[in-house]
Amino acid sequence: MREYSIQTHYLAKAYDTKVALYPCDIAFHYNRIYALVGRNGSGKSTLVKLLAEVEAPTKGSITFPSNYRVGLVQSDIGYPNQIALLEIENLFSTCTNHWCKERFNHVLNIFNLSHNQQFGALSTGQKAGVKIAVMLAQKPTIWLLDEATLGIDLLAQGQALTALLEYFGEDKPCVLYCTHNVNEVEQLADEVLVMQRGRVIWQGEKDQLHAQHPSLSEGLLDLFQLDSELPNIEAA
Amino acid sequence: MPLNIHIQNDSAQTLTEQICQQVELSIAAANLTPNEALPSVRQLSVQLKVNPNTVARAYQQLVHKGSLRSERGKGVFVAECRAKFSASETSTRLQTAAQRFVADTRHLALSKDALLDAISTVLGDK
Repeated sequence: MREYSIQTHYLAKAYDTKVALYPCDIAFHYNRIYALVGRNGSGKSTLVKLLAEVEAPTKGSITFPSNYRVGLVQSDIGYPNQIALLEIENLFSTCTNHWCKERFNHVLNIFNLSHNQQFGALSTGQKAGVKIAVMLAQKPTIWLLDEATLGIDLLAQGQALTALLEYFGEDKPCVLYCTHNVNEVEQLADEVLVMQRGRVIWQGEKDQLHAQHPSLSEGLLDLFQLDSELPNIEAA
Repeated sequence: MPLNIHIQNDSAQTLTEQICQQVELSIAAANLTPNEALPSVRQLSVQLKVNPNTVARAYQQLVHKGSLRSERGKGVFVAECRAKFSASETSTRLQTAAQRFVADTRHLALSKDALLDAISTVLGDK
């Protein structure tokens, strides 16, 4: 049996009376990339925030393996505009044990960035590059990427995939990758999880989904159109 | 020389199938020669920008088919062509492959000579 990385137990989250994630039991393994897809507001970000432990569950729990480190990239969270990349480097290298300077510099190189640039002066694609560089330099065993490549141009998308795949091959982490980009699902995913209205309505091998449809995007569209007919189990 | 593989997103074929097919075509066209080493799984993964597990699966399938052979700790190489099927099995497989080729090219409405020419071109008139 493969070593598990994360296991959720009846994990659920509600904000006031609105259920963002219905109770779910999901296992995630090392050396696998899970593409998390679904329409906006389907619960993807909630699941990521619970796994990153930046939010507490309303119900249920998560089991992590020993010696895990979580790396998180969120599209809407960055750094102060005035901070230079060198200062980000200095900050992380003094406050994290596992900081790898070579990695940080290597990923900045992939994105053609230099240390004296200020975060606020960068393009959207370059900002994404800095966030990915910071995540990879911390050598996490669990990578959580919530629309890390949202709104960035094709060149930067390619650079992001290069950086992520290079270190995925080296570290063999457990990766959760939220995206709306079908090409990224096709090129990155081992497994696909489709979320709809707070529930994981489909989970399986990407190639299996592809094999049952004329193309991967048609398979995903098919699943998106499934109407959730599960009973309403409210997380109290 | 880097292995010349182009993947196409959102095709009817999975990326695993595309990699398998293009490696086999490279071998058939002698762009890859027997005993030549293939790029490592991680190299090809970064080159094509696809999950290394997908590349590894394609290599495994080709090893299983006998197109490639793997050496523990050394990597994956183009296998020597050798007869490993009985005479009747070889003839059955050849017939099936020929039928598939004819069926695949039927809609092109080509002459018999044009089809035979195409095959000799791929074989490099060996």
